[in-house]
Amino acid sequence: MKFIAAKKIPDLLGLLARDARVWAPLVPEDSADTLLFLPWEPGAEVDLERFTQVSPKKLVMPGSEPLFSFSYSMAVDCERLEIGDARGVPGAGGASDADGAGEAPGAATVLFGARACDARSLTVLDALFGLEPGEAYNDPLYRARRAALTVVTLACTSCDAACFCSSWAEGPASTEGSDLILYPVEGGYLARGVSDRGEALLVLDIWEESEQPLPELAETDRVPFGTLNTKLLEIFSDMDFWERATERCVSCGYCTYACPTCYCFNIFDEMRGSRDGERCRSWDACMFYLYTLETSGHNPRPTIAHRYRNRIGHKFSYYPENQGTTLCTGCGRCIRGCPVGLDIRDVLRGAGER
Amino acid sequence: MSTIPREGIKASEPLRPEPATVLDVITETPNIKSLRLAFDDESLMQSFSFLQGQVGQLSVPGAGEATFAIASPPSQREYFQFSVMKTGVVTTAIHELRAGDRVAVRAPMGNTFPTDDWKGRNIVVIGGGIGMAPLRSLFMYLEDHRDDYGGLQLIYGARTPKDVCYLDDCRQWEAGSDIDFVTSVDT
Ligand SMILES: Cc1cc2nc3c(=O)[nH]c(=O)nc-3n(C[C@H](O)[C@H](O)[C@H](O)COP(=O)(O)OP(=O)(O)OC[C@H]3O[C@@H](n4cnc5c(N)ncnc54)[C@H](O)[C@@H]3O)c2cc1C
Ligand code: SF4
Ligand code: SF4
Repeated sequence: MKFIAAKKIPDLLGLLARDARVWAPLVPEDSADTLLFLPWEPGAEVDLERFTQVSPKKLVMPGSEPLFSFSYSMAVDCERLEIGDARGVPGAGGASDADGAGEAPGAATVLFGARACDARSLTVLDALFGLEPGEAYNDPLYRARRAALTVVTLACTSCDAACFCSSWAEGPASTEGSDLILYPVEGGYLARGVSDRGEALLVLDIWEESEQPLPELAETDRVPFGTLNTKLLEIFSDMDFWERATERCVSCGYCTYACPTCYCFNIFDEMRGSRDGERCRSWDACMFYLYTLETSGHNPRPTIAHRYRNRIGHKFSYYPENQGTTLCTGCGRCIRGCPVGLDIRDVLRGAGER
Repeated sequence: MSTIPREGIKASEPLRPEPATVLDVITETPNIKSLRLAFDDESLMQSFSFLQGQVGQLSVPGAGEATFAIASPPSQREYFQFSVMKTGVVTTAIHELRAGDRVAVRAPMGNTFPTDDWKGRNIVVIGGGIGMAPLRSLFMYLEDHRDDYGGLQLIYGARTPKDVCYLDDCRQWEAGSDIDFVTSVDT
């Protein structure tokens, strides 16, 4: 099997960076406790031990991006409405290292050091946005980025208390969404190609041969899903349950922003002067009061309990019903990062026992 | 899903609206205006089709984009109509539009009513206020296919007499011999 010594990882990154922009787990300059997927530059030290706080979904869905530019005046005799091209817009998905920014659509990108849960989350999103013409909901920007993305996954030989990807059949051994998988072993990493694109990386002149066996992968906590999808519909009106379950939640939305599978966005216009502007979209989150506030003032999800119920329902009941897969891969970020320690697994187990 | 038409939206650019022109503005109530629009691209306008109850996204570039029900019936090929209540940023900009002004539209989107399943039955359509917008499209569709249905009844409520939208249509419905039209106001 192909092998690479740990000390040669920067050389591998250098080779990958010849043809693509490489995003890897890096410590941002001003925050040693933080680990994020950031653009790698020669000399930057990747952290292949800890988990990133925010998922790499920005590489297929940036936190904020312009859709197109326009020049507009409403008056009849003034300049005509022109709808321009997003690709010409300054900063149109152009990489900045601010978190949330990704790459321009279609720019060759490598996601390096994704975990199995992160890689699999891309296939969960593919179920919604589709990859081929005529499939699902066509989002051309998502598709362009997705098609230009190579995923090099780092297999997990250890996990923490928040991980629960073993709740799904393959857990940390899942190859879904990965092009190449690196398995940590003594002194370095074994490499296995999963897709043609991954196999192609194995011809790079950097790999050695190794007889080492594949390592034992982590075994995480498991949430028994069983018939949770229908159970969640049964307890939809059980507000007592939802209120108790979410007593601590402060509706901050961190869980949705950190999540590799949450995909909600809002669309708005940003003006530059009085005539020129950009139509933009940014991540949105169902944990926010304004997400469902109707113009009349009525809000069908007025309390945190209603909103959290939607979060759970969407992930574990409606999305499975509509797209055939749970909208969750067990990465545990929402558990590690929740400011009040709300654990989604407690809510799921509580719902199951209801 | 495949039965829902999307002809107004280019498959390659579903996020980009198509330029359209305001043909006519009708002041319905103190805070509701109806806009009749046509896509600037004539071939797009010719192929544009939608199902009763579907919605569109109307943009006033600079103010933004908002969702409105298409209030005209699919049989109306000259224009499509949105009826807009003034409430915030985008709807205020829409209320400032005049005939000849240019906007941008993404349509059709969303779902329809299962009108095929209703064939042969008596239909009662109940709506109120600006909520009449999609129901106007629906009701006019049912009228267009009058022979497929039994009795047609429209029950329409508004907060006060001056909030009654579509007065001209209401007069016609009232006068129509094979339609049972009932209005109600709260105060
Ligand atoms: C499927 C669908 C169909 C619809 N069909 C129609 C239709 O046919 N006709 C129609 O008139 N409407 C319709 N609507 C409603 C319409 O989309 C809204 O009225 C419109 O989007 C409002 O946009 P706006 O920019 O004018 O309002 P906004 O500026 O977004 O304001 C909306 C409301 O939110 C409040 N608000 C805004 N920002 C904040 C904030 N930061 N904090 C607190 N409050 C805030 C405003 O005061 C206002 O009351 C439809 C909506 C949907 C989802
Ligand atoms: S991160 Fe925690 S507190 Fe914040 S919205 Fe999610 S569950 Fe609530
Ligand atoms: S509805 Fe909520 S849980 Fe579902 S994708 Fe959107 S933000 Fe995430």
